[in-house]
Amino acid sequence: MKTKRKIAISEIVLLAVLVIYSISILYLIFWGLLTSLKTQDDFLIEQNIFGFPAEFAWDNYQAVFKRLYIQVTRDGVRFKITLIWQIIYTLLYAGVGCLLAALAPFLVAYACSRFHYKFNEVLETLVFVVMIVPVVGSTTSMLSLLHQLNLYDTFLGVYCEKFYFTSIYFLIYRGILKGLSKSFSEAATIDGANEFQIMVRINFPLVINVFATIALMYFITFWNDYQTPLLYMPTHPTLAYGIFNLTQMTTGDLNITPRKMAGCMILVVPITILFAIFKDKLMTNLSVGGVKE
Amino acid sequence: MKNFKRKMMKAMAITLTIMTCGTVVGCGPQGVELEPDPTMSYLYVSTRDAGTGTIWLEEMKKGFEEKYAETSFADGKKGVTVNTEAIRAASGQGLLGTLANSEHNICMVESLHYVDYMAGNLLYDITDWVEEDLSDGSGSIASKISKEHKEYLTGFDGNYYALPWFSGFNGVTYDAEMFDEKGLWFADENGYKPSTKSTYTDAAYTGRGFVSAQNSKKSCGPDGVYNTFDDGLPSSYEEFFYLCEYMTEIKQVTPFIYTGASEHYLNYMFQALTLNWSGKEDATTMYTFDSGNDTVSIITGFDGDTPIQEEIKINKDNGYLTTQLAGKYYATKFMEEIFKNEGDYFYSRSFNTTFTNLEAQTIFINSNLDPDYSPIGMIIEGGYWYQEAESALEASENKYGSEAQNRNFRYMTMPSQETGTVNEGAGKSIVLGDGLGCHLLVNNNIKNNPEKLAIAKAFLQYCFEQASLQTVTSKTGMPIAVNYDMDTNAYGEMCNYAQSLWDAYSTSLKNNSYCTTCSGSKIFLANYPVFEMGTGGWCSYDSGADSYETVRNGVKANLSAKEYFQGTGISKSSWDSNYNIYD
Amino acid sequence: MRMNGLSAKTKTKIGKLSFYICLIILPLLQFLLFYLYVNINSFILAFQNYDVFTNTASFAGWDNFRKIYTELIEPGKFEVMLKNSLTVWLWSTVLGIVGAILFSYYIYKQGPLSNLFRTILYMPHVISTVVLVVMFKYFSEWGIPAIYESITGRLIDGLYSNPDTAFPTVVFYSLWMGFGTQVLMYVSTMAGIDVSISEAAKIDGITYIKEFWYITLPLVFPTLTTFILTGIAGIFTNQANLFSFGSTGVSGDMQTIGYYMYKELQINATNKTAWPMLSAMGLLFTFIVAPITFLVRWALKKYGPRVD
Repeated sequence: MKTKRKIAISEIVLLAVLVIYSISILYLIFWGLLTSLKTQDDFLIEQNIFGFPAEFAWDNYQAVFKRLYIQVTRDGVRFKITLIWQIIYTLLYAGVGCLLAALAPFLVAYACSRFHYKFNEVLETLVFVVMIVPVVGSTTSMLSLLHQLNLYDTFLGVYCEKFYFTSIYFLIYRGILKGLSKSFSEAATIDGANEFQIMVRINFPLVINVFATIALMYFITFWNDYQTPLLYMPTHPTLAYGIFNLTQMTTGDLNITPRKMAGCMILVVPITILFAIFKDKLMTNLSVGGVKE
Repeated sequence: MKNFKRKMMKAMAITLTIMTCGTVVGCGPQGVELEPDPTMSYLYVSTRDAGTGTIWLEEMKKGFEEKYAETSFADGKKGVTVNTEAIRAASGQGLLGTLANSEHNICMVESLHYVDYMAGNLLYDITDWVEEDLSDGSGSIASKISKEHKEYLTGFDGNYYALPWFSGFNGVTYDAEMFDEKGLWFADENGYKPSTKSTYTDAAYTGRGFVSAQNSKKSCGPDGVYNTFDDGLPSSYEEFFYLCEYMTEIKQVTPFIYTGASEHYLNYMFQALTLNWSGKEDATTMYTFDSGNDTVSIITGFDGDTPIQEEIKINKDNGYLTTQLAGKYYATKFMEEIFKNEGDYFYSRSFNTTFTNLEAQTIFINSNLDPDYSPIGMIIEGGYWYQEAESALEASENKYGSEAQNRNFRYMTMPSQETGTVNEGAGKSIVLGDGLGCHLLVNNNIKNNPEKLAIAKAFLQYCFEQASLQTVTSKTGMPIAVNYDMDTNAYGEMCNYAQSLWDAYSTSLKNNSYCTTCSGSKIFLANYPVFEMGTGGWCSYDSGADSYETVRNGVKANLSAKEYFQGTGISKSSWDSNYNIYD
Repeated sequence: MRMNGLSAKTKTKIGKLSFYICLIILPLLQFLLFYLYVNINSFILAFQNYDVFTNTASFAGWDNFRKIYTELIEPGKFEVMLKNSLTVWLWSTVLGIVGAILFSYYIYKQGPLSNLFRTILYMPHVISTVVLVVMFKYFSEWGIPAIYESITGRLIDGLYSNPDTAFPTVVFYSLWMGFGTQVLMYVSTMAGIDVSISEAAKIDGITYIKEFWYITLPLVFPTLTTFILTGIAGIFTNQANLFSFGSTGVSGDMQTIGYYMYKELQINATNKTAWPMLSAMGLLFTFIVAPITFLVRWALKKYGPRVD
């Protein structure tokens, strides 16, 4: 039976702040939704900023969907990259990219924490240097490299670009791996397991929650990222670019507030619903920790 | 262990799903082959997806395909299909990273950073095409281009690598119909003067009065010539502000509206004022840094708040002085006065940074038709605004019927003196300058493809034939930045606004007051973003710790016109170390 | 024992070394190609000048660094940008860390509606940043003046249009939307705290806030340190979403160092003449930020709360 816990005053203060915060986020989305359903007349001319729409302008969404494609040409063929393909490209970019981005620092952090070679110091210094040094003017060099390796405008190219270990997560992995109990791996060694088996069957499962969390964070970053795919695989535009493109339009009938909000809602509403449904699955790793069987 | 297995299975399932997607992607979305017919030749032409629109390209495509339907550009092929595309990125340096590998053979680029495209070896040498006589007998393309523009285009090695396209002069558009209804014109004589005081000079008013029922003959306007397109418009800054006061105090008209989402549009008015005050010769030195044997009016300092104006010969060693053009100072002073009264002079939501150009156009178009709105007299916009507003104009017609048809919006000539009025014979021709920097260029990646080169040459030359230039102008309303005429029929097809643009443009060409806003000067070529007319840094304040894009920002930060003007200058030391470094 | 000419110990050593190399070889190759090779030019650029007409670069010594002084530091621009960067750091990063830790503690302690709050705190990260900024900006430009007008009858400028409220609005946005990632990490770390420690403390009668200060905070301090360090390193790179708000047109009095660098890079993405000075700036900031970061790291290690 769960015992009833006394609620402290400081907890009540935090509760109040969180309630205000939550209302502000939810209201912003609600306002965006209401505005997206108003006609230009209703919003701009009648100045109906807050009320419910005088008439529901579903054609705002129609107009947005019609324009929510990106035209690209690849090897002499012109494609209209519609919403569904933008989502597929986004899943490929963010889905695989996040796994690679989470894996690379793990591998190097594992090497540094499990093996004690002098080269570890070099690796650790590289991480710090990269995190601190802002890099300038590398876009053209990167494009040039991708062309040289025949990786330009390919998913493999961006995957290579994402497989970097010099991130803050190297430090997080290293901290956690260093703190792991050695007893399990020692026992496994005695049982004849090799390093690979120890890593995959003993140590990796112990940090899989952290791996999943980091992968999730990268997934969300890449989901929002429109610039990298635009630069390195321009004929595979992602949904983030589609929406960004929409918000930047200055011509055509989309360049009015209700339709800009409609464009935003197309991304916000499905993601919010999906997130609301799968949040337990997505965030379950947060509450589980420690050594697994 | 079980948990771990489950997690691994989950991870594999996700990976498999993604790989399946990958396979699907490998098949790709449905595409349209761009060259499906092996017996047909193809050309790819792109334009900017922005205010200048795609109508020009659709018209050229139609005409070109018709003209060359029976022509063979390669063995076994007859006719040509032009594939077109509108690209948002076709501006400034936007295509630099992609042009070399692009399928586009000809591109229309706004705000062309010529030097960067040349440095990347991206542009095909079209000199032969430009110097060849056109098939319609109207001369060569080169013969239609102004001297200064030629110097710009051949500024690298004496050859042409791009051609001028739209002349995008920006500024103020006014509602002539409303001016008629409300009597907002200045009268020739004995005009109605609601006040004896000038808000601009804060002294006795010395300009003209307004038309009334008794006296409807309009004044000669800023050009000092009767029966021209600027009759009745304010001919001095003093008259302009008198008009604004008349609008707000008596006629219940809001003088201005503009799109806060594009703050730099405020500089369009600033640019038009600078050009008209300075005149073509002085204004041109902002690009050439060379006045020859003539002198240029420069503000060299201030005695208190009074500007010290001197006539100075400009060369590349003192070219920095062109950032202190007298016309620019007076334009700054004008804009300062506008923004000191912005609460009365502007539609209330103009400065909302999400108030889009289409929303501003919609309000402007409907303001004199909707009884719930205070009519708005003028909009600060680019010359292309009317094309952008197509859907708003259509919606207005659907809502208000015949009174919303054939609207009479017109491009406004800016005054070129501070006080008093312009009498007959004492005016100046309208001065215009392109602020868009639109150019056509040929992709160097077709240099080894004789078929594409032949078609590109034919298309480019087709665009500059007399009939094509007329078609583009009459359909889009925008002039092309070369020398040509509009016959009566073509002119008659244009709407009122387009006609007003043509009137302004042709007049400036005829009177040699069209300022080519580019030059072959290496200083200009290498520093295009600083000196370009439209969005260049020359309008912006950058001094000490602060930088402001428009005079309004400066006024909000309590800068005076003098201080803002001084902050737009380039110092001699900066000129010597950053700009005057070429032979 | 010798087998095949090598002792078991040596074989183990070789095996370990081979595995080590296998682990690091691909990430290291990626680093060498996609970081070092790609960026080596930009480091050299800091000491070069570029001529657009001849398409050549020439050695320029310390010229670019001198230009930074004459164009940014001497006129006072750098001071304004630094002040803005520090303001963003203080109000957004520092306050953000404090808020995130406290919210995470609330969720870890499973306060009322903690599941809902966890979802909502994380939601801004799931939704595209571009979209959120657009919505926020539109609301602050249309919604806030409309609310104000309905209360007072007066129309005011939007929060971002008004020069007096524009920067605070941007800073507020950074703080408001920035909790998600940190909350995720802190809650994850807190969940790993041995339950027996807090149980024992409860038996001893510890209060809610004291448990936070004496038990939870020290145990999550390593994670907190990481965010503090990256926050400090980020002073020079944080653009506070200014680019999303105002693209390249943000006025000088609002610019942070990070925004200035990013904006200049965007404007000059393919303009080689501008790269040398930007590259020099990047190097200069490195020489300032690196020692500060190492110093803070040392200080946190030495003086931070201890688990024992």
